[in-house]
Amino acid sequence: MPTSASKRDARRQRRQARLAAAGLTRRALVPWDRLKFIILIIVVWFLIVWYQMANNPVLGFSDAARQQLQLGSGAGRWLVLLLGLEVLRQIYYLITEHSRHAYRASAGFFGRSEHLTHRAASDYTRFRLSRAFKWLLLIAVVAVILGLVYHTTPVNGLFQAPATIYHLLPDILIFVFYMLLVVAQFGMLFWFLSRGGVDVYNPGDITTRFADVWGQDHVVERVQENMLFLDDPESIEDHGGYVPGGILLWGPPGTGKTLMAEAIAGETGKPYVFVDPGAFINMFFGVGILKVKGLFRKLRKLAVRYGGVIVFFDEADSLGSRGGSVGGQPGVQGYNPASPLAGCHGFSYLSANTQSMLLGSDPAGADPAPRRTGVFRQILPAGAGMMGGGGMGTLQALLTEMSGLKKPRGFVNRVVRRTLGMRPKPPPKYRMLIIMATNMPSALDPALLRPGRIDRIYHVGYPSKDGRKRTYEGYFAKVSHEITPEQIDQLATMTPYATGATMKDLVNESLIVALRDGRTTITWPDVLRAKLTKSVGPAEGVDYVDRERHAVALHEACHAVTSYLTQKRKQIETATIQKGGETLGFVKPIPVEEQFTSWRSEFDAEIMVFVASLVGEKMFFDGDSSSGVGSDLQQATAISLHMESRWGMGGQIGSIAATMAPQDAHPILDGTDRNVLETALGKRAEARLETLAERTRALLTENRASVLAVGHALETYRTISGQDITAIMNREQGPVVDGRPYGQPDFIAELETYHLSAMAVQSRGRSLPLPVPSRHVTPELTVIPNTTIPNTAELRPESAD
Amino acid sequence: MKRQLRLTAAAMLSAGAALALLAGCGAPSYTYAADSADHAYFKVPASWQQVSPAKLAEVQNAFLTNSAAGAAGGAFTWSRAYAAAAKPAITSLLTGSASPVVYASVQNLRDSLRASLSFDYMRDLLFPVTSEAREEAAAEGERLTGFDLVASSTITAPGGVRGINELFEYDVNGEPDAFDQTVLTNSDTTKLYLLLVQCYQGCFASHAAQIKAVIDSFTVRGS
Repeated sequence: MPTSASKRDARRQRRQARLAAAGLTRRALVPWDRLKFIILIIVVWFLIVWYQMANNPVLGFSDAARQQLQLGSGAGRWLVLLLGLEVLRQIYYLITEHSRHAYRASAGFFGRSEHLTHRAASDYTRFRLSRAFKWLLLIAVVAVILGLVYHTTPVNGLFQAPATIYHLLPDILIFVFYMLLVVAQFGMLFWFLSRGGVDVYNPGDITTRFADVWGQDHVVERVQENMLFLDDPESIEDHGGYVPGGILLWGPPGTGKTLMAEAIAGETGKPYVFVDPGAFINMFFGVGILKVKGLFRKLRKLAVRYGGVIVFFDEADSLGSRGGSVGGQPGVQGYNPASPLAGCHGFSYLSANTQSMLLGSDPAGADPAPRRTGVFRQILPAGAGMMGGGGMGTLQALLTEMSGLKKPRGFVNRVVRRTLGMRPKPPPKYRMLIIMATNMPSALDPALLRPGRIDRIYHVGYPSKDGRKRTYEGYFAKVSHEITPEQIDQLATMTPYATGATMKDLVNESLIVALRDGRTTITWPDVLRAKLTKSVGPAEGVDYVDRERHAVALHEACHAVTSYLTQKRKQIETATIQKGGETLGFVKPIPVEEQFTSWRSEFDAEIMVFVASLVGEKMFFDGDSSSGVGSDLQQATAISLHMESRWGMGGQIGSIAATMAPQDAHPILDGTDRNVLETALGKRAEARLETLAERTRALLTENRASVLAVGHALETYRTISGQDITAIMNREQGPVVDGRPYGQPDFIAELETYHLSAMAVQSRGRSLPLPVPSRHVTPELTVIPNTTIPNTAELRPESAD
Repeated sequence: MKRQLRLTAAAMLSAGAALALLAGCGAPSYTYAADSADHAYFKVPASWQQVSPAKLAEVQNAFLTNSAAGAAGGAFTWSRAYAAAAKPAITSLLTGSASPVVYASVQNLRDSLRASLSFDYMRDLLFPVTSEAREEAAAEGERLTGFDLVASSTITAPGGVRGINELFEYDVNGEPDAFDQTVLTNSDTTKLYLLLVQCYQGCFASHAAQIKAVIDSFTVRGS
């Protein structure tokens, strides 16, 4: 139970708190604040007593303590004085905590003195005086300590100290040397680690010229404009402008970005600095920053020496991003082999545009070239949290360097001149042309691409047909060949999305094919073989059972014939039944020219090509069908739904895309919208599919002989080109397949018989009783290197019973 | 918690105040003389007065230069003298004092002496104490009488410090004068430390406790 005394205490405390809160008294100090200096002084005093005792073996504690309390002598007297002052201060505080009058008086006094000092001196003068006072206090304390150490007066101690330091100088130097040695170890380590990754080519080292860049004329023209400014900067600077200092070249791999940067260096005659993509991947924090600083130091030097420098960051996406991606920049979204849509026939029937739309990506960036999968192409250093690996401050350092070229530089310039009252000299104009190349512009940091750093962004896309023609001519000019200009034109038409790299590779592969045949001159069939090799890839080395091979051949033949007959803006590049990683075979139609929009009639045709497999299987196998049509139907349904719901190509104008959230969601693709087919929209899509299936059935029925012919060719050759399919359809001689025998009714009848026997076996599950008819065909031609195409004898069943 | 803090603070303050009171009851009871450079220390009662350095130098020049102490080495590196009397006469600083006088000095040993320094040399440093020295002095015509050796001992202290302590009497001005002489040297025999306390026999007896405290406090720290 609280006593009356404690109640009184509590009441007093509450009153005190109230007054303090109202600003009428000083706020009460906590006990620690009240005592801390007193305790400190007492502790120091005891230390001095202890020190005196330690220095004199005959001195006892009592006398030592008494000595330090003597006001006439002893170092402790200052502490006693301080202790007295501190006690007085605390008494003053205590009074002002309890007495309103005392607090008011003290506040008035100090307020006046504060006012007077403010009037007497400006804030800066007061700051300087305070700083001088602190320095003097520090010197005084040091002097007292030195006086104690040297057993002399503080002033003498202060003057003796330099002599002691001088005597100790060797030891101090040794200590400093050891410290520097430790620091130098780190310095050397970082210095070594920050080397490399940057190659400098002097003017004349590079012989590449713009004439070597084929098929990118529009980009070359614009880049040349930049070069004009670099060579003659006054032409723009005299008019108040500035030389654009940065170019981003983005586009699919192999389109000649690096070549173009080399050509720029070769044309200008400025030094060319090549920065490796991996230059900024580091083990330790700070190394990347050192590299960036070292790189720009070198660039500035070269820029001043040669009047300009060109630096090229290859694969600039390796510099990474700090989290955000480039907004508004077209991403390079392309064909993804790992996509769920890359099934049996997958995307190959669709235009690149449609593929992109089905994936919900930006069609403008459609790119059928395989995109690199995985997060990024580099191994992130341990502990680096930022994606892109150029993290750990490297990107920030680069950004700073790129926009910090106009600052005064140098210790003498910035510090010494300023100390002497001179203004630092502005830096010379460092004329640098920073070129970055990437195929993933979306992975770049937005800050990197702002004007002032990267002023111009050029898309280095796929070469136009003329460009491809020129490129093929260029590469064929380097080898011995018998290719006619018409064939080169045809080849350019056949390879609409070819890049410089793929074209060079195709010519090289053609040469390999020729060399394998013991020739050194490339012929047109060599080119076609090489093209097939490149488009189909190596076989898995497995073979179908006979009845399955026939079924797959007919399946693909239905796709091929329907595509040939309905898709007039495309031409079949390859058809194969060679088993690949995820497909049993495929037909690959490619657009004759790059196109950016698709039309309803084209989508109808695409759906027909997709459903042709199901319609054909049912037609040829008496209503039976396989599961191999799964992905075809998925694509057909997706297109049909998109036509109905998004593209206004059906009975509805409104787009469901407007109601989708989030924007990038794909309910059809990811399976979240399971009931769509039950809706009116789904029913309309289904009706479209049925209509088109019916149209396809009529088409295939009408061209039954052609389907059997293409199927037979596929079964015989495994892989045939689009020109062979054209030859079969037109019953003429193709590059590989002779289509003329398919015009003979008895051979078609033979194929029918063969098919009927296969169909019969299909239901009974036995081997085919008949061999593949082989009249008038030349199956000994090996289309795919390293892949055995069985001749007709091999195709014959082992047991014909 | 707060209460505990307050109690602690109060306790600390009380302890500090108590110490301050304890220490501040009066002046120190002894005066401490220290030669930190040579590590020599002793104390004298606080009431004793220090002899001025000028007077001390005069005494050293007048009396010590001709003694063994004078021959022992060069200049005195450190010396102190304290007297119980307010103004001791120069002549009574080393002999014939009616009140206790203490003299201490440190000097460097000459190289020639370092090898031959003996306890007897130390004993005869100021006055002939050993029989040989007394005989030699008598032969040289010294008229010192009334010699009485009261106590003699050797000292071995930590750190290689060693020496002698002699309590003897001579008649001075017809009255027995008591001398307590402590001579020490350091481990490498480079320094000679001397402490002499003297006054007439009656005075010595009456101030025995104070004199003992002074002699006992004389410390040389070995290396």
